[in-house]
Amino acid sequence: MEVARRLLRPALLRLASSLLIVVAIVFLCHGMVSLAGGRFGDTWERPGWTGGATLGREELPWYAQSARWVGLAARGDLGDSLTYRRPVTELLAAAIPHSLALALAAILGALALSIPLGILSAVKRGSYSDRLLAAAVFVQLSVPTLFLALVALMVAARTGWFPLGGAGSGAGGSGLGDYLRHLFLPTLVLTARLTAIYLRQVRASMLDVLREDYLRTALAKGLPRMRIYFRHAFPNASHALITLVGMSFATVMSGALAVEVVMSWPGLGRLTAEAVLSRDMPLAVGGVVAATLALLAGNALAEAFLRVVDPRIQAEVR
Amino acid sequence: MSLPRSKRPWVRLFPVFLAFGLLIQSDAGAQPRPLTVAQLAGPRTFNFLLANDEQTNSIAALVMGNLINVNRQTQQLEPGLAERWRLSRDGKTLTMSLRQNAKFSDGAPFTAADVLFTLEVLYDEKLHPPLQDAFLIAGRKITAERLDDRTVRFRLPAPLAAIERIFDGLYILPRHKLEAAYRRGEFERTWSLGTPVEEIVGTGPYRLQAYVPGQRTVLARNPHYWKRDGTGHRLPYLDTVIVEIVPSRATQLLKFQKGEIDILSPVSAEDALALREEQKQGRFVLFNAGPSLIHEVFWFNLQPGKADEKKRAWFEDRRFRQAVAYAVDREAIIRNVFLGMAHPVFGPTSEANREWFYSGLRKYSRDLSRARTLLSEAGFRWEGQELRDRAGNAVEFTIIFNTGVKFRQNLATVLQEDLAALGIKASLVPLEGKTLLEKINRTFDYDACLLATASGDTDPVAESAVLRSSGTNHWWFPRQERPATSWEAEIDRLVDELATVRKASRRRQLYNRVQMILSEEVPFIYLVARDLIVAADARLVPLRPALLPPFAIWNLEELHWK
Repeated sequence: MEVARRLLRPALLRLASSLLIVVAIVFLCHGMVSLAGGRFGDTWERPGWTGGATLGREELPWYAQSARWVGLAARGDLGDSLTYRRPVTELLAAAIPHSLALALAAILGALALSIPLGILSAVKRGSYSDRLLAAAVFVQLSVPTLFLALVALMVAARTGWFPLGGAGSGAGGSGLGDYLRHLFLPTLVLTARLTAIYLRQVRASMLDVLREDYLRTALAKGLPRMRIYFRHAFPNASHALITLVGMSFATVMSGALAVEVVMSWPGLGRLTAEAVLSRDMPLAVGGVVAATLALLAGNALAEAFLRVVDPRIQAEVR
Repeated sequence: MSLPRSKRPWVRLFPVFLAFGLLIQSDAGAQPRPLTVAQLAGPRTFNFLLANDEQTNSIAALVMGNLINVNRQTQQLEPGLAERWRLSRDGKTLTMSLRQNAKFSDGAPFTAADVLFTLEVLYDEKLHPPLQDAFLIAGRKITAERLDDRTVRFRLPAPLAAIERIFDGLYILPRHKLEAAYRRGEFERTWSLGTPVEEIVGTGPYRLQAYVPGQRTVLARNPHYWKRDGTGHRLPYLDTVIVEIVPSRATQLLKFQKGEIDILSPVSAEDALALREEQKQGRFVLFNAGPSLIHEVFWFNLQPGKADEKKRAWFEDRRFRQAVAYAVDREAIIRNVFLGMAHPVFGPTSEANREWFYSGLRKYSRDLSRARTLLSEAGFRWEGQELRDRAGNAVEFTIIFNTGVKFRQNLATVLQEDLAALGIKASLVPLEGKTLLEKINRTFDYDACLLATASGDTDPVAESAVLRSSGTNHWWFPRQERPATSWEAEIDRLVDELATVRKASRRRQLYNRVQMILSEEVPFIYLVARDLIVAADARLVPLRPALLPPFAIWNLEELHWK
């Protein structure tokens, strides 16, 4: 009973705070778009316009629209897109799998590169390889993703190694192999940036951990170095990285706009950006809320993973 | 010795017809290689009557059929689903004879009932399809009656000069597919992007084969399309058309260069320059169809009570507007902004509009001394390099324009420099599209605006919303309750007559006068018409880019691989 209460209370608190965040985001989104000015109907509204039941909602002040949205969402209705005249849930459901695939591929790729390179950089601190990696990180962080995406696309055009954007080819859609081939280039661009961010984090955390007494003892005892770095040092240095990955999950899910536009990737970022530009409020809010949920889910997953890799956190809960 | 020549020309030409027929049959018969074109965004709906965006309309043009077509190249009328039509002497009754053999893509016959159903939905007040206003004559509806399955009679509340042309945009809906949903009040949600594609049928050359959200629309040849070529072969020639969604113009260009896209339209001046060299390899051809119907314009806000009073006094003075028009260096704009691929314009029509272009307008070529004279006459003076009004106020204002169009930013900069040469300080304010539209449509809190106007048709009736003082696109002072000036009142009268008179010479006379007034009063300072440039795979024939949308693929049914 006591254990259940201990586990249930934080879970309920987490849920309540997450809901509050989502509601706040809904109000913020409506408020900010209304501040930008312009309405969905501006491009095509004509005198005598009486139709478009959904358009009438635009006449409400932004806070009333927000309250209305929250009320409907509580019943599972995110409304209809003004642009597409389809339920927002359907549109999000079509875009989210593509964003998810891109996010997972990019994050896994970045982890696969950044962990060994970050450890190498920390262990060989001050060496040529460390300096070379620092320079590469600096370049990666300085070059805008848009530029990188365009360069990648130009290389693909010149070499013919990869398709030029899209998520499939041919008239009849594509199989898994074709999908993965199309996924490679946007993943590469996002991986490049994420690798730089993660690598910096791994290096800094590893440098802290490598100064610990238990590692010096392990080295003195003559344990194999690889085992020391990967088995003993890295797990203790991975806390910040795990949190960072959780947060970057949401960024990549909804914020890969440049990559999605340049590489014609049909993801959530592009859909949300189009909705904001056309003032399609239900779709824009739906997209932003989906991104918020991705952030919350990313954080929750990161926290759960931290408990797995660090028994001390489990002990705190108990 | 020679063989006797037949006196009948068709007998003499028979071998030519035969050879041509065989050529078409062998080369253009069933062509499995798909044609791939690109769009910046995908369609918004498959409920084409409710569509109001370029992407959806270009798909609609391939899937749906209309009663009367405007040939995009000749700009003249040609039969569509209506085989022939007759307008009564009083111009108030239009009788159309429908095609006997026309069918929807699911094989259902097309009849007069479909036309009547389409008109019923068009005039639905609750739905208010975008095209409804064009079909209101003096605010009243056109009524239609079915004389038999193949004949429909339209009764107009008043004569409308270009009545046939408005039918070009009206896609005929299949009653057998949509009536039930309409009666249930579910029309607005019918034929959405989530509808199974086989449910969507039309009388156009293609039918929907697949739609992949955010990626592409695939169109397959409509086996029931009514149109045939000269040899009796049922059109279209190409079996499949893929419309890819490629939201970046840079990516579109790369895909075209790599051969993943077969047609690039329209091509910007910068891209055309990049493609010019590559064209020599012979893989593709670049077409410059000349000045388009898209005009870059600049205007001052004349809405009362919105602009600063002292500024409004400047803007309302015709001499001030003329002086600004004379200050603009259109040649420099063409050279530096459009890399030579544009033409100067001085009125609402350019040479592209063969029927209505009027060459007798005042030419506002750059003439700073004339501009200075006009400003002096209007009471302005210079203090050093700075222009001041009668009260000593420095002449300065802001110019708003939309972001996201690179050449417009450059154009605004050239305009700013041209005005500076007169001592006018113009500040540039780039705005996101919707915000700009709100300013010029609703809040009117701006000084001057730089934008483009585009005509959907060559007939001046299509310009009514711009020309009439009550018009929504009468941007300098839209939706006036009564004309604010005598010249606007005169234009209103001329446009009213233009809308009803059918005699071509009289209509030309009326529209020339409208153009003259606009040229003298310069409420719009017309700048340039950019050229319509199209690039296409060299094997695709017969490509004939037209100035009206959908520019490159208006004759898609005739296109084939050579």
